[in-house]
Parts: sequence; structure tokens; C-alpha cells
Amino acid sequence: MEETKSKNKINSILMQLLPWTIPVALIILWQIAVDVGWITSSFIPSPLSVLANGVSLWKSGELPKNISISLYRALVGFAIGGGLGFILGFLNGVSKVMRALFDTTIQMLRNIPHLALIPVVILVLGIGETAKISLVAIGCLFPMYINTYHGITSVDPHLIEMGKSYGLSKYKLFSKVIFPGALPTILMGVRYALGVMWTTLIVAETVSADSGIGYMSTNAQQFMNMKTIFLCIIIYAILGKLSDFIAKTLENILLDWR
Amino acid sequence: MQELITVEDVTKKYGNKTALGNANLKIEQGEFVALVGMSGSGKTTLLRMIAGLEQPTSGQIRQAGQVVDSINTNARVMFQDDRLLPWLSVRENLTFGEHSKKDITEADSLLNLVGLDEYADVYPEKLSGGQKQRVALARALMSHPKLLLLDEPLGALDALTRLNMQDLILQICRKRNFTTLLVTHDINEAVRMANRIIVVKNSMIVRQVENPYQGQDSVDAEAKQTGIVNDILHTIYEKD
Ligand SMILES: Nc1ncnc2c1ncn2[C@@H]1O[C@H](COP(=O)(O)OP(=O)(O)OP(=O)(O)O)[C@@H](O)[C@H]1O
Ligand SMILES: [Mg+2]
Repeated sequence: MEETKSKNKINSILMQLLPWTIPVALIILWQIAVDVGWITSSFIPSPLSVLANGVSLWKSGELPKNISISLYRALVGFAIGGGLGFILGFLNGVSKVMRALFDTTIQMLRNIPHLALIPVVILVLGIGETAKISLVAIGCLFPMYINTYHGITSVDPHLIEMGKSYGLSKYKLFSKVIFPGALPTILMGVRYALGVMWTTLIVAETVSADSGIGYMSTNAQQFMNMKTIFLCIIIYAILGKLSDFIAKTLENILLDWR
Repeated sequence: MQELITVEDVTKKYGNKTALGNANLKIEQGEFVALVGMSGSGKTTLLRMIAGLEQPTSGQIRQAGQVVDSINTNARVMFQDDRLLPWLSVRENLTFGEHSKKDITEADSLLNLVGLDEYADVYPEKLSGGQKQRVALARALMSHPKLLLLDEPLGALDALTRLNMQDLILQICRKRNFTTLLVTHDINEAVRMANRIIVVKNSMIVRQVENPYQGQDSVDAEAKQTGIVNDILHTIYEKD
């Protein structure tokens, strides 16, 4: 008994480590390949040198400054666009009049890839903060709108009928029946919008900026500074993973009933 | 005896299909009335109109003298599907998230009544079908409804749980003097529980049977109940 128990424990630990074996092996292989000289380090830098580069850029203050400006743009854009998308989705979800007024227009605009708006946004708003934040906001608006709207309109009508029949006030009906019923779909929208937020920001900062991670990367490109380019890619990956983690945690907390 | 529900010349049509034709029915305060009939005969249609979830095409329904012309919040419906909110705990399903002491005390005492006190903090997903229906029953009883409308509340249960639930519902309704309308396929169930049985056939109320043996389980009473059941079955399957 005891033996199988400890065996099971070891098995489960191994199972948790298993997904990491390939990434770790690849990084080690990459380091070795550069060290041995299979790959020229000026072309693809070794993981350790990218890390060292990161540390020195952090110490000089350049990295923290650029990360925080990028984070700021991402979050403000997400808050504005996501918030607007949520409000529109909510209004159109609960009101037939609003739906008739707005939905067709939004559906039409939705079909324009928001990155195609970059030239327009730059011409109208210049290359300042407003331009980049607007692009992120536009990118985040649609996934939030669609998911909120869908979430609210696809709540089980039987549950709504029950709530009305049990004499719930409009507020109670919304807060206890409609909103929680729509929440799983809304959170899917949040997760999707977070993804859009990063890609939009990367493109916006690459095209036009004088600060931010995207700028760091384009700037490094001009100096053939591969270490910094790789560093930026890794930072994007980490930030992407982080927002995914936040979205997942949010789901686990808010949807604990599932 | 005071009249609680009056159904007067009520017809309900969906398109040009009559779901219920020219129904007349009176239910007095404290009565336990069962509505039986074949599938599609119009039972749910009548119950939904009394609940105000559907409006008659013609005729009128009144509860305590007041015309039911919108959702009737003085009636509590226990739907055939439990319609519990999966994101609220069992207790919160009864209180709808209200935290007042009065609501919580009432919810807990009702959960005790249906034998589910241990499950107050559990999400409905963790419950069996029969337990969910008991929660739905407890929810329908919150804040002493004037009228209970039960649409096949025991439909999904096995025979044994079903018998227990029948006893439980009957006990509660008698103890608290509820007025109850029960829709069921099961004539035996109707005759065990109701003091009056309404037979619906081809969208018409064709018969009303008084049942003096309601809730009795002596051998003698059961024999009499069986007689009534057979009589009703005869009405339902009789060729027109
Ligand atoms: N919303 C609706 N739209 C169209 N027809 C309907 C609607 N609701 C009910 N009907 C029709 O009205 C008739 C009566 O339906 P009802 O649901 O009242 O039957 P029932 O006696 O409750 O049947 P069951 O025992 O199967 O639940 C049926 O023929 C049904 O198809
Ligand atoms: Mg029915």
C-alpha cells in the first residue's frame, strides 16, 4: 500500500515536470550549439548572453522604463476598449432598441482588421500615446463586445423566466441570473482581448514609437543587436503568458461553481 | 371556503392550433387539485396561464378576484426541469443571494424540511436529480406562496424516491395549508395526493372527480383509490 502510494506521488511529480523537458532541453541544446560554434553568435546569440544583456539593460534602467511604458499603453488601451466593448455588448444584450440601433454598425466595423487602421490612426492622431492606445482599444473592443453580447443573449431563457416568475427585481434578475449566466462567455472575451492587446501593441510600437518594448526591438534591429531583439521576443512571450495566467486565474475565481 | 383561482371560458391558441379550449375551473383556498391527461392535452398550457407566463387568447383567469394579466408573482411555479441557478449554492438558490437573517433562517428551515440541510453550501451540480428537485420544491415554498403550481415535479424520479416526494409534498401542503395545482401524467399519483382530479382530453376539461381518499393509505382506502384511478383511465382512453 505505502509503496504504491509513494510510487503514485513520484509519478504525479514526473507528470508535472514532463511538459517542461522539451523547452529546457531545447534551451540547453541552443546554448551548446552556440558555445561549440555550430551557430554564429552574432546571428543567433546564446540564451546566457541574452540573459546577461537583459540584466545589464535592467540595471541601466532602460528595460524597466520600456516595459512600464508598454504595460501602460496595453492596460489603458485594454481598459478603454474592453470597457467600451463590455458596455456596448451589455446595452445591446439587454435592450432591443439599442440592438437595433448599434448592432449592424458594429458588425460591419468588426470586419475591418484593426491593424489596417494603423496608417489612418497615424495620420489622424500622429505617433503619440493617443495613437497607440487607440489602436489597442479598438483591437480589444470587438472581442469584448461580441462575447458580452453573446453571453447575455444566450443565457438560458428558462432561467430568466423562472426569475421573473419568482418576482425578482430587474436588478436582481440581472445580477443573479443574467450576468452570472453570461460570465463564462464574457471571460472568454477577456482572454481573447488580452491576446489582441499584446499583438496590437507589438505592431503599433514597431511601426511608430520612441519608447516601449516594440521600439527597443526595432531600434536594436538597426544596430543588428540580436541580443536585444531576442530579449524583446522573450519579454513578449512572458507578458503574453502572464496575461493568460491572469485570465485563467480570474476564471477559476469567478467560475468556481463549474 | 374561499375561491382562490377562477378560470373562466379560457381558450389558448398557438396559431390556429387550440392548445386549450374553453376551460372553466375553480380552485378553492387550501385545495390540492391534480390535472391529468395525455401528453399534449394542454395541462402545461393551463398552468402557465395561471402563472401569468402565457396569456389566454380569450377568456379570463383571476386569482383572489384579480385578473392575471401579467406574470403572477403570487403563484410559485415548480418547473419540471429544476431551473436551479448553477452559480449559486443551494441556500442562495432559495434566497436568491439575499443575506438577511430572516431569509437565511427560512431557507435553512425549508432545507431541513426537505432533508437537505447538509447541502446548503453546495452547488446544485453536486446533487442528484431527486435532490435538485427537492431544492426546487424548497425554493417554491419560500415566503409562503398563496398558490403552488407544480408541473410534473416528480417526472424525473425513480419510483421509490417518487413515493417519498409525494408524501413530503402532501405533508407540507397540508401542514401549511397551501393551495396547490399539480400537473401529472401519473393517475395513481394524482389520486394519492389530490382532493380533486381534473381530467383534460383533446385540449378540453372533460371531467372533475372528487377524491375523498386523498392521502390515505389504509388497505381499504387504497382499494377505493384504485377504483377512482381506473375510472379516470377509462375516461382518458375512451373513444370519442
Ligand atoms: N409555445 C408553443 N407554441 C406552439 N404550440 C404549443 C406551445 N406550447 C404548447 N403548444 C401546443 O399546445 C398543446 C398543449 O401543450 P401542453 O404543453 O399544454 O401539453 P401537456 O398536456 O402539458 O403535455 P405534456 O404532458 O407532454 O407535458 C400541444 O399540442 C403543444 O404542441
Ligand atoms: Mg406539460
